[in-house]
Amino acid sequence: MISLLYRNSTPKKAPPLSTEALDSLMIDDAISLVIPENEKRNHFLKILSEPLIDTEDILYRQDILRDFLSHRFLLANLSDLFGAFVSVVLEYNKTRQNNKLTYRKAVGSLIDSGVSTLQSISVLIRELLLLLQKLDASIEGLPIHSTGLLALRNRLHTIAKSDAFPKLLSIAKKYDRFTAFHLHADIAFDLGENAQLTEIRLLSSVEEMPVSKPQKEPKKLHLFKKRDSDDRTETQEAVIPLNYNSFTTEKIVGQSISDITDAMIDVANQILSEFMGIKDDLLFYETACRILDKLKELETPYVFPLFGNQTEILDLYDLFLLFRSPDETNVIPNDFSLFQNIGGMLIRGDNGSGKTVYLRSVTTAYLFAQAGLPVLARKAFIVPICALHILMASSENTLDILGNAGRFEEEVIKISEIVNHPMSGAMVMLNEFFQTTSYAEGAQSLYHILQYLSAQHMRWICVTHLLDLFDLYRNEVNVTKIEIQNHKAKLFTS
Amino acid sequence: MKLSILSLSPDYKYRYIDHHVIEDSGLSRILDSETWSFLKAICPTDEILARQRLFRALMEPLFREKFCSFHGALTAYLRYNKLLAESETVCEGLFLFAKHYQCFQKLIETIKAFPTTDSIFIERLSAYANQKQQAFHEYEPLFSEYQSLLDAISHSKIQVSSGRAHICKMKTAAPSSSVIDEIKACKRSFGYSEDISSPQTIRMSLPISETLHLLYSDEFSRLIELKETLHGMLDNDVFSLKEESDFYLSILDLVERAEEYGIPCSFANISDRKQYIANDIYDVSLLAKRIPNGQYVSNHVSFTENEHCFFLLGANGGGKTTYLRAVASNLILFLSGCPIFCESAEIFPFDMIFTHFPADEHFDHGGRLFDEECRVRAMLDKGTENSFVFLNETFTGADARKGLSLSLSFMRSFAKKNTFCLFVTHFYEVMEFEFPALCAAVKADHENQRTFKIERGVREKRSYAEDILKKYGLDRISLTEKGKIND
Repeated sequence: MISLLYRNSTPKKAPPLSTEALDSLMIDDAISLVIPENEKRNHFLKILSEPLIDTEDILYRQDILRDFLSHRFLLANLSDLFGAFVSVVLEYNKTRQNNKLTYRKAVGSLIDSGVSTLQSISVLIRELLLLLQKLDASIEGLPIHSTGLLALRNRLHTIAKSDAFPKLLSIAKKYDRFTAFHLHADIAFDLGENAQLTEIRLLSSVEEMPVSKPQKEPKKLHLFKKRDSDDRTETQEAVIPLNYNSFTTEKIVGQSISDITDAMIDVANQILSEFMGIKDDLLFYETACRILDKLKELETPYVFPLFGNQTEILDLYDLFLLFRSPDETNVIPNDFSLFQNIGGMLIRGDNGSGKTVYLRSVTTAYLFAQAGLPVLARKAFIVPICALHILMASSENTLDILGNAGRFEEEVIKISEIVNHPMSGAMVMLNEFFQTTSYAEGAQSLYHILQYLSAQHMRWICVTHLLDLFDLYRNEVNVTKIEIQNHKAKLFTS
Repeated sequence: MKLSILSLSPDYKYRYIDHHVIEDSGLSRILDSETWSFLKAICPTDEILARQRLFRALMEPLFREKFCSFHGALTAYLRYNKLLAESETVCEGLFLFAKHYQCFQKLIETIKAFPTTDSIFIERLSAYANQKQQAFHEYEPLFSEYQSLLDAISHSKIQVSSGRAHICKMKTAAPSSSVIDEIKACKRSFGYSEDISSPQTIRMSLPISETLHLLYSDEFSRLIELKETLHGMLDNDVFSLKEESDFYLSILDLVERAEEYGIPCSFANISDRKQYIANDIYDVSLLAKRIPNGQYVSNHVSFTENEHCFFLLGANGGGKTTYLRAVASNLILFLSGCPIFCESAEIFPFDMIFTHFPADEHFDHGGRLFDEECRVRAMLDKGTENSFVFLNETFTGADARKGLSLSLSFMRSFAKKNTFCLFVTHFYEVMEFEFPALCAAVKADHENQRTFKIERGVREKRSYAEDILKKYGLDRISLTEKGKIND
């Protein structure tokens, strides 16, 4: 199955982010003005919530997005045409449903029912093939470079330009107006080891009865007539009328028609399962392009990140502030770095100084980068993380009515899930955690937990008012200390 | 002579044990009804030996494999026989006959493939197969012709046009490329894989059969002729072998299941003295309870001409009924020539088994005690000096004095008749009389833990019923506490 989102059928992904975690980043709020369609936003966020880990997988998407940015009409064409796949299938299902109702009560209508089903599937096949032809035409000859789109083009070309294409189209056209009344067929069958009729196969000559064609009357052996003395031929035939009291004959004819139908359905299913998913894949790129269009409009830089062994982002912007702020020129970019030897980052600052914004913009940058999207920055070098945990203070996220002890216990439960299932290479974002107890105890408790996480090779970024933590980490060179003032991040020196 | 792998002589008049004896022994819990219907027939000594020989052979893997092939071929032959009987058209009958014939041929081949063995049953089968195979050889050309004719009538075509249909012969067996083949070729061209679907079939109908008969009249005539000739080769006497082979396989399956749980099996020696001696005997019906491996407890059995009537007493839940079933079930298996579940044994070929377990009362007239008396009296009347009687807590429906009296009275009657008897009872007073007693032992120093071992003699005249009551909160202290709570 071709996918424009995944390089192969088993992509390596980080564990999905919870809805709660994603909501805390306010990405949906940020892009809702630009992308008012709920379905598109939801789909986009879903992809975002499953970060890719393998850089090859990330670059796969980046390249496709670059191609779409260079050829916007291609994205529009593909979206329309793959969208038409869905419409064609819906139409087919509707027709089938109507046919079922029509023939449900009709007795002795095996053939009629079979023929109408054959008609419906023939229409579907025909429509699908024509769509594939259009798709092939829309992508042919374009200077695209991404592996994904090239694979799609090759695949479409293989089908649309094959010798089988016109043949199948011709078969579909033959049957899409077929009626039982004009049935003219040769049906071969064998007798199996229990004399059952098997290998029932419709030979090529099923078609509408040719009009005004002189017919040489075949020599027949009639069931209930005497045989003429000179009525001998090499090929002897016996006559059984179709509407004779022989349910088997109807069944044989019905079976052979449904065999064609089954073969056609099989082809249709194969085509659909290969191409149906692309429509949804394209939604992601459509949304991404519109976001980037908006960034362009706001003259905000964005860059496809490079991947290496340390993270450094220069002039990183916050998406929410950019898109929702009344004056986007007031949005201040920041730098962020997490070098190889750095295990964690502590962030402090006054209320409203921009700590949460900073954390949010860094987290969003990781998510965008690992979704194959550009980062809202001038330059970006990223180390992909294999899991991302976002821990917000419970007061911000719950309607807990138990008071501080309850909230603290909730936070303990949340962090315990991470502590109990550590993953080397994962990142933990903590925003004002453990502030629901005495600060001294909170700091001590969090210090030990963060030490544990570091020992498990998990990195962390902790926004906090627990200033004792800065004291506890005073001599720790592997932990960066940042202070945010007026939305600007600076190294903290005590 | 009728073929059989169970009976040495077709005229032998078997004695049959009652249906409820199989149930009381517990064998009905672990064997299907077809199997234990065979167990009801008590075999003569030579037949016990003959069956044991075949069972021994079946315990060899190679022989077992060949036997299973034989069983499979029998099953197929029976199946086609049934299909043939149910066929509704001449055409169907002709085709089915070919399969039927081939199945019989295959059956003979499987018999010929048996390795050499000392089993008289197999020897007889092999002699039969030799005879049949020679005949098959002579009929080979006829059957070849039959198959060729079937092939000739197997390929036809229906031509449908303007509401009418014709059938005609196909000039070649392989049809020209059909539209479905074209569609499949297109699919392959597109790079899609072929899926394997089973072909649809339609049963032959009378009109089609009659029409084909007209179309291929010469072929049909010759086929009917050949069928009549070839039919003489087939033999319905083999049908009974299917059930008999089922029986062997079912018992072997039981042996394998028992082995998984550490229960051994062996072949008892047939004793010419009246005795039942067995070492480490098991109640194999406990397999139905899926007790873990290693927790099955064996016991010894020693009934001789000098001591052939025993009372069995002891703790509730101590294994008395299990012991009773172990002795009874293995006796039934022995008398059917089957392997038994113990390390070793020497058993006399008793001529009848009687059981009475409390669950199977039918109080038609005079109530439980009366019914029990009648039943035990019937055993006494019907039984011989070579019978074995198993009684499980019989007469417990009576008051202690009456129960004791009846127990002793009947036991004496059995003893006088030299009938063997094992009688489970809670009337401890029986120990004061002439009959030897067995006892279900407990570990008194371990809170009366049940050992499930049956020993000679009785240490304490107790049933340790209180342990059981405590487990379910019905002991005195628990009932007192409950009373305080209720107060």
